[in-house]
Amino acid sequence: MSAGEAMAKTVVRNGTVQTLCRQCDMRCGQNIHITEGRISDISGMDAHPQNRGRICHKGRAAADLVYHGERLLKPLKKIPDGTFAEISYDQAMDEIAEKMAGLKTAFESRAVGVWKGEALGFCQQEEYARRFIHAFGSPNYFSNDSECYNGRYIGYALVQGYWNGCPDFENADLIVLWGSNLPFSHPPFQRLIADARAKGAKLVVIDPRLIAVAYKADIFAQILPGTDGALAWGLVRYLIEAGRYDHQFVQKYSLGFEPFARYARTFTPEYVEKETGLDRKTVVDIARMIVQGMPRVIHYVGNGLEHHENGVNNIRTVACLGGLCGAVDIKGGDPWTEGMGGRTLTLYQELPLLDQKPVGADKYPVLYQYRQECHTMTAMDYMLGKGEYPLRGLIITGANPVLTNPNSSKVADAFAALDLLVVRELFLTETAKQAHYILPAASFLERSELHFHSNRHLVTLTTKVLDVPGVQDEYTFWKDLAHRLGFGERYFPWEREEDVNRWLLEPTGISVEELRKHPEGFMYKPVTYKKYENRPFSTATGKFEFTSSYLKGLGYPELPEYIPPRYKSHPSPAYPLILTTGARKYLLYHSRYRNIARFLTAVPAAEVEIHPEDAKKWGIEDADWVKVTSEVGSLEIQAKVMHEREILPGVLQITHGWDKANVNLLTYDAVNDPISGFPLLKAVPVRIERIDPPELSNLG
Amino acid sequence: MKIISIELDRCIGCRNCEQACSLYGRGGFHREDSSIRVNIYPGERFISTLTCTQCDAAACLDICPAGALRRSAETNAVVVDENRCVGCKMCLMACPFGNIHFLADKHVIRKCDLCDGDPKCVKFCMPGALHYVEVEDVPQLRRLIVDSKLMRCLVIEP
Amino acid sequence: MNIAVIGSSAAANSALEAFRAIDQKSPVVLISREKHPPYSRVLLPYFLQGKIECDQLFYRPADFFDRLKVKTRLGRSVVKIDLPLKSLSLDNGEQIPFDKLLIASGSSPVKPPIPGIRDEEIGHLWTIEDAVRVDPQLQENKHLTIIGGGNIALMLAWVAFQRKMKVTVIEWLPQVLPQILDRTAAERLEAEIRRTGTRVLTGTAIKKIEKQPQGHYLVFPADQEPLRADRIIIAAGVRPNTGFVDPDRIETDIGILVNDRMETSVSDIYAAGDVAQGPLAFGGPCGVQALWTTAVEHGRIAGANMAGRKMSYPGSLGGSVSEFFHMTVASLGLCRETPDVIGRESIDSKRGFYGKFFWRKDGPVGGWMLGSPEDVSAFGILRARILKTLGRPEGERAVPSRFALGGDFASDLYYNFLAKIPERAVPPK
Repeated sequence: MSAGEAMAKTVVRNGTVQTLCRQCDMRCGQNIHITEGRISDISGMDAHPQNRGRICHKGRAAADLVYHGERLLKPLKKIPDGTFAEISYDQAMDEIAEKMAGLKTAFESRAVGVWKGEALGFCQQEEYARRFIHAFGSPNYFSNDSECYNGRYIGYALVQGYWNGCPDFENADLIVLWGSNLPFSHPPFQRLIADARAKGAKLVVIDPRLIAVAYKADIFAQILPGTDGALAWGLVRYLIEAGRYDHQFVQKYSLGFEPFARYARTFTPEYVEKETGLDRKTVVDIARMIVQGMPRVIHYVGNGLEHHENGVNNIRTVACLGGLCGAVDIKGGDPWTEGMGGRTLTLYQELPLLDQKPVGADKYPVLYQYRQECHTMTAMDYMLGKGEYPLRGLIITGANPVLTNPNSSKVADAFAALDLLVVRELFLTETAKQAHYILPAASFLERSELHFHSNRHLVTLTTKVLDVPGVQDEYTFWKDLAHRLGFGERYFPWEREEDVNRWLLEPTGISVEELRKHPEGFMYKPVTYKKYENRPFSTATGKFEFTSSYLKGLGYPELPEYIPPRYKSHPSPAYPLILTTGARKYLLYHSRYRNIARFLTAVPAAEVEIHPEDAKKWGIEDADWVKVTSEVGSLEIQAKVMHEREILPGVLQITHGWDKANVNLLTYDAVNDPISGFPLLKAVPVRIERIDPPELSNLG
Repeated sequence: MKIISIELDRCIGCRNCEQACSLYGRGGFHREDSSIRVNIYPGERFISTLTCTQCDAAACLDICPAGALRRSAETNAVVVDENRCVGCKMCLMACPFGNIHFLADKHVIRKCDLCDGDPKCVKFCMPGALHYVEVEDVPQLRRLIVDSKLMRCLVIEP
Repeated sequence: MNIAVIGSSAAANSALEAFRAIDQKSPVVLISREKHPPYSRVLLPYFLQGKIECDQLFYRPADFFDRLKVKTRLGRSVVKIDLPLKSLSLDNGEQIPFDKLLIASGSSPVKPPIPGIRDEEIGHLWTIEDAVRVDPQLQENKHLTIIGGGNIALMLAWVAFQRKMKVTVIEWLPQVLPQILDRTAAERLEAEIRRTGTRVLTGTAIKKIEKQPQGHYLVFPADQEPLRADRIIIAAGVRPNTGFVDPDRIETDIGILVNDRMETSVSDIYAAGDVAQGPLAFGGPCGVQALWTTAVEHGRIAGANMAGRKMSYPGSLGGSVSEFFHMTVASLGLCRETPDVIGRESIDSKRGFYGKFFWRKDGPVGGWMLGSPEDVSAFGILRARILKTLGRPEGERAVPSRFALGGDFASDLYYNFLAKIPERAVPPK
């Protein structure tokens, strides 16, 4: 039994406690089975609509993490010889507060930032961090969303004022997935897609790789990386020329259709074929399927579209397709979901701090204006003294940017330059190793928070299942630090998490007690459709925007113009192959879960996926060691020769998150989508060469 | 009596079922230990998943020269008694679906035993391809799918 | 209707179960030379290996005969079948009348005509008594000579090797497993066996055996140095037990000839198992197959027909699987090239799989393998595929689509290899 396991106390000695899983962001309902004071098993909650009694192995492994032998249980401080020493919580927090106060005096509050990772969540957990840093006087809130989610959010919000992370798959007639492997990234969604297909819905999958969901596609369009915008425009052209689109919607509720239609004409079948690598018949087939499926057509975009130099515009074009289909805010289409109407913890009204110049807000104004998100890649420059002002301190919670941000060497250098790096974590990650202070964090099983499934208008209160003494939940940490810094009374006055929950819920009339009676979730509001008939879209003009005057005002083109990826427009003979990254593994989530031994049986190590033709060309056999080099850096890794249908010739893939073969040594932090600031991660020009296997000692 | 019904059209080959079978039955994630098998054919873009159908006229049960296989009264599954099984492999040769597997470390066979009535593979199937349903309901499940598809063809949009 | 059954092994028991599934009323009497409740010869090597205890040799529960309402005469043998009286004369003088009779008297091991072989300490491994006798004979560091090179001989050699004996196998034919493997495969297997230090002499007759005063033997293989054997066990084949059968009444050849209903030439008399010479799946003259699978199949058909349900036996596919010297050997169906049948090797050296499959122009008809235990599941799938080739309904049901089935290797083997009939399945001649 590990130390953590010995110390942990479950809320009941024997029985089943229900809560939501946060091993990924799906928040499936879980039954936590407790026997003699320890979690003995985890199964899926039948009643929760998200997963209906099913569970995945990540969810079940939550207990493995909580009881893991390597779990951090005590605060750690880096001492002069570079190792970590255990210190008390009070000492850690006193010293951190003192150092933060020192940085404020020496440089200004904005010299300190916070960084919230995916591991934490996107509800009140995120808001604690945003609240804290603004209360401290700094606008510098960073998160994983500098390279995830926001690209899609902004792309869709620019067009229709909202993004729905889970459209109404179950009732669709056609589902088109763009660069998204939903069964792996969002497992419960696959059940909805499967339900739709069982009722006769069609599925189109657009992706450079033969991903799991593509095995069920009626049309699998194996597209060249980064060219999805050309395909989208090609489909737009087809629909407009055929006259098959929702004329009424376009006429009454949109603006910019004329210039949009004119631009579309340039996307001839020849051009689209050449650009995307897709046979023109395939494009016509997809277009025909869209026509047949209208209006209940869902276009769903994944990270696969975000991580490109022109990601936002490509996404906008797809969003426009939704309008042409008449799928906006309808059943079986893309519903415009509404919030619960609870309180928010953020301070953007009270303490906007715009004059403090949030990092990246000048370069990526849309990112900041839409999401109040500072730009992590720009922050690296600030940390290295090359920004407009110094960024000297950072509190990171539930994130591992040394592995998951692009250009890892630069990230490591930037963090090394900080005066204060605090990392809240469950494990000693690569990022934690660089910290001055590490604080052991509570897992989701040790916290009680509000979670939303906005597509279903559902709110669920998670249950604290166990308590690990000495490990703080998220609220407690920020509160304790805030009090030491003098703004605790004002901004973190609640005693405990539960009090925060109550406060958040108050205006809704839904009580914590009520929510405790509904572990399967509580619907806060009925779902309605076609709200745009009675109220304006949340866009600058209130219309569905084919062209964006808001963007024009900022100096961007008003149309979502397609710009080819650089490997097409500026091919470089030194880097003849295209590297895409980040393909999902079911059992792993970004840099997490490689410390679960059984998972490594299934996903043993990092590998570079290569087409058999390319392997032959470069003299590479399966399991050979190779060196992959980009403009940014190089990486030694083992090759996996794929089946010829699984990947395109000329394209390689490496999944991220492996500390021993970190693909982010190769990726760009300084080639970004101009609107979202997202880094180029999925079309990186590289070259490959076979090498001798490295010495075993190098593998660590 | 309930059996595991597989709706192949929902399976996307995540192999969570194999992992669950291995984990709960033998510990760890060892594909070769799993009694449910997911076969993926990239060339054909096709996935075939299969587990023991607990045949009424079970070839394995018929042939076992050690009397190690019997029909469970509770679940109707054909189950193996590892103390009686010597690993002669005649049942591997008898099953027309190749659903009997061999455990090299114990030198006995392993096969689906429906987890004594609570099949784990079903619980870990997120897309809902696996169901644990009454035998009589299986044709109905298929019927519903066919009916929905038929309905869709008949609906004419105004 | 009075039913009598001679024998108590695979065919007899399988027949009893099939009979009682249809007819619970007719009285049944079973006569067997063996005193024991039904046991399985297949398990004897595992008993010698120490994997199971003696009581686990009984593969049906102790109350098996009671449950099936079968009266027994265990430890008795049949001296004569009185026809046309339809009565059995037992060795103790008892008469047992019958309306229908099943002869499932099995087979017995043969002693090759080698001078010096008729020694009471040179025996076989066929019965429980043999196993109990042989068990203490398998002593560490002693020399064991096994006469014969078939399945039982090699399994016994393996067990003896595991018990740290020095083993020599002497086979008269040019290769081991002559019924199952072709020459190349047999040589591969022989090489594997020799790697362990076990001696394998093929194409070797034994001139004589001489017992020495000290108690051990000298075995004189033709054209070779004599070798010392502390123990000798014969595993040189079996012969059907037809001694009590009058060939003028009931037609016999090597065994008792039966048709596809397991009926002998005399109406109301059936035969099944090792004693029967029955239909083979690929047609041609009936054959004797001393195989557990065949005996079970025979029994089911015989039992059903005796109960009045007309069931036809489409013929035996043969089929055996055994494991020795870290190799699993399996075979099924037709395993010889003929003008109609070609063979194609399937080798996966990474896996240690070495197999050969045989095709007619309408599909696979057989195969053998040397490999690991898990690979045998591919042969289960092969069985279905062969049945499909033969147009048997079980084959159709079992192979609904061209995609299979089982684990990755078995499935890949099926899909990539067995599902596709090679172009030259009918070789030009």
